[in-house]
Amino acid sequence: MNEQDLNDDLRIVERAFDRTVYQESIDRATRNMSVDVLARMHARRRFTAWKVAAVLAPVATAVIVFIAPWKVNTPVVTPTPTVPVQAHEHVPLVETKHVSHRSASRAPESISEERLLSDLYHEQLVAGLSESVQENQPMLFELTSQDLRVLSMSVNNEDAF
Amino acid sequence: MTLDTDARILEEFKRGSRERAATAFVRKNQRFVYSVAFRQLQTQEDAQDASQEVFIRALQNIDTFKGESALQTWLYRITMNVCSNMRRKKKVQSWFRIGSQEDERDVAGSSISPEQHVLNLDFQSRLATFLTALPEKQRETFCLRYFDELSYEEMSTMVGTSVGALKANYHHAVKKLAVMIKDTDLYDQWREHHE
Repeated sequence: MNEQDLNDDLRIVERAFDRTVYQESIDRATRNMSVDVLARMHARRRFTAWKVAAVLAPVATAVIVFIAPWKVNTPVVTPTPTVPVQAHEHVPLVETKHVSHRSASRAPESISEERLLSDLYHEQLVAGLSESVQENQPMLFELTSQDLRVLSMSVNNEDAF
Repeated sequence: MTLDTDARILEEFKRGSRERAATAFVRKNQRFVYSVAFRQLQTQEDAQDASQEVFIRALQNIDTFKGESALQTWLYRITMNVCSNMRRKKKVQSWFRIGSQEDERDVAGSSISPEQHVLNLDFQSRLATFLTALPEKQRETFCLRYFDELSYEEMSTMVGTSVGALKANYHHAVKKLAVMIKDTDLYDQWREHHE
């Protein structure tokens, strides 16, 4: 096809399809497009936020109803002050290392007298030793073989904890 | 700073003035996007709907635009995808449509005069009749060149076809359209009027 033929055909086409009519119709149709697009985007964002809220609401409710109370009931480790106990005194021992409302509700566990005595003996020994170390004094007492046995027993008992 | 180029619009987005940049972006490209959408969907309502969807998608993903191609090329691809999805949706909806199908080929907006409306209808019916008779590639090439006034180079990057093939498509389309128009009464009326 030569250039002249193309130009002749193009003139006929231009007659049938007026570009300005086409452009005008497009200008009319797109007059408020930027406003419409932004409004639609905002509306979509709001809808998305609403959808997310609708999905999260039951989850949040479930957390509040089921998980949160369970979390409150979990045992909390709190140190408790030790009560000075005299030697040879019969005191029903209560497990005092871990106290919580769960463990507190359990029945107190009694331990043997031998263990009680060894614990007390151990405390006294350690107190005596530490005093002499702090005051830079010679030991006020000699450790007997029985002392050592009791000490080792109490250490073993602590390891058991 | 006037936002008249793609680079400036993208820069404005990066600076954080998203609303201003979005408005400029839509205004700059709305004619082109609507034009492509209208040719694909053939109704004003669908074309407007598709165009808005195109801009929303583009604005949501503008941060991922790497600038490897022109913004218009990127928009063209989004438009073709959106139109293709809409056509598919409409096809499915038409299966469930009850009653007669109304004539949707309305070009008229509510603000135009009746004469303009008739002129537009006439133009649209001609456009639909003649253009649908062309093969798809020739039709799209003709429209991009004739109505959207793009250069062959721009079209080539947009459509992914060589400049030579696009020129051939365009010439064939013009020739076929001229033959079709010559066969109508309209052409005889023009000739009589001219003579």
